[in-house]
Amino acid sequence: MTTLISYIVRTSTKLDKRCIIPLLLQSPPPPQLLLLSPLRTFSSEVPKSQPPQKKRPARGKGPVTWKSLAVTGVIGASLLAFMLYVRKEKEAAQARERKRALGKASIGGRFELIDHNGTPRTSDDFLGRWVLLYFGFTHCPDVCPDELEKMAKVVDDVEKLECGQSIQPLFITVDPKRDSQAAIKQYCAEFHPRLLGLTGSEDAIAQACRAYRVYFSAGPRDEDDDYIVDHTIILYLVNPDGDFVDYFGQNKTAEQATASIVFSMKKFDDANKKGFLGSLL
Amino acid sequence: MNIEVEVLIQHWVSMPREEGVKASQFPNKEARYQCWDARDKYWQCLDNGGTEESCKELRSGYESLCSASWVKHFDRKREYLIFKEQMKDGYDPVEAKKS
Repeated sequence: MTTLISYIVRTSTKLDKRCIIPLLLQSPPPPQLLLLSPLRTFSSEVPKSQPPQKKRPARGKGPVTWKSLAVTGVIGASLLAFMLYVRKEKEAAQARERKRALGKASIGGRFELIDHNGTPRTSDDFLGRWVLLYFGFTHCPDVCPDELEKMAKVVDDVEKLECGQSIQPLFITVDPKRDSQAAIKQYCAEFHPRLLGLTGSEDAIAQACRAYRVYFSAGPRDEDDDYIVDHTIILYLVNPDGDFVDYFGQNKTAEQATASIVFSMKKFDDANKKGFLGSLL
Repeated sequence: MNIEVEVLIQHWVSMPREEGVKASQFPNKEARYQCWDARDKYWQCLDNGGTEESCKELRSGYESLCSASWVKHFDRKREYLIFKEQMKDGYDPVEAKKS
């Protein structure tokens, strides 16, 4: 290894002085370099009165040959590639170790519900797609409509920024008693054409809420039998593996959420992309 | 002000809720925006130094366009928002209680 490096150092210093600089400059080299250069041929600088001298060494016969230049280039490039590869592997290993040490967030999990068209849906149906998830209810006075409008904007913005990536927006009701399939369908259509509403038995809803640590509690009923359900206001981001990745509270703007999601998508793609050599092996 | 309330009530009459649709029907987008609009007008009246008495007409418009549970929710919300503003200005509820 040492000999190899010293060889490269030796050859590269030669190259620097005599070859690379004039080659790179592509313009007349400075005079002092001209004098040093063995590649110089006769020119007007030589006094005409002197008889022609012995011919200078021909092109390519100097200390730096095309062959040594090529060998140095190939060795240098492969060393650089190897170094970059090792560094990348190390970073990937560090990222894996960090993830292992921190563990997976115990948010998210399976749910078995029915969508607003009456089709049974489990969380597995959404594997392979990014999902944005919001829990709410159709009689919600102000918070849910605001958050769902934000969600719709985020979905459109992310898809505009990340061509080819799509997000499935989901709405899970926390008021299954009152929110019929038809009501949810009508409600979702008010926000985004692809927003899919999910409902189910009270147990199934409670189970889905437990998985996402969503609190919900129906308030007291008034004389019209109307009530408001108090619930956790959070948008959840789930990756194509079905794992919870990030959450956005009421304090996050659509722009902030969009930026975080694009970042999470890039990180997910990088982690799932095999290295150049890894893909060859 | 009278005309405003009348217009609001006319809107309300043309809305599905008034046509005998059960309370289980949620207020649609249009109904929501009308309710929020009436609420904001009433709140603005109060913010401009109005009393409950002087803003009574806007209040009744607000109550007719928003369901009772929403009115209760928004009234509590307004109280909370005022409290939050006071806290920002250095109001200490514990000290206020003592005195």
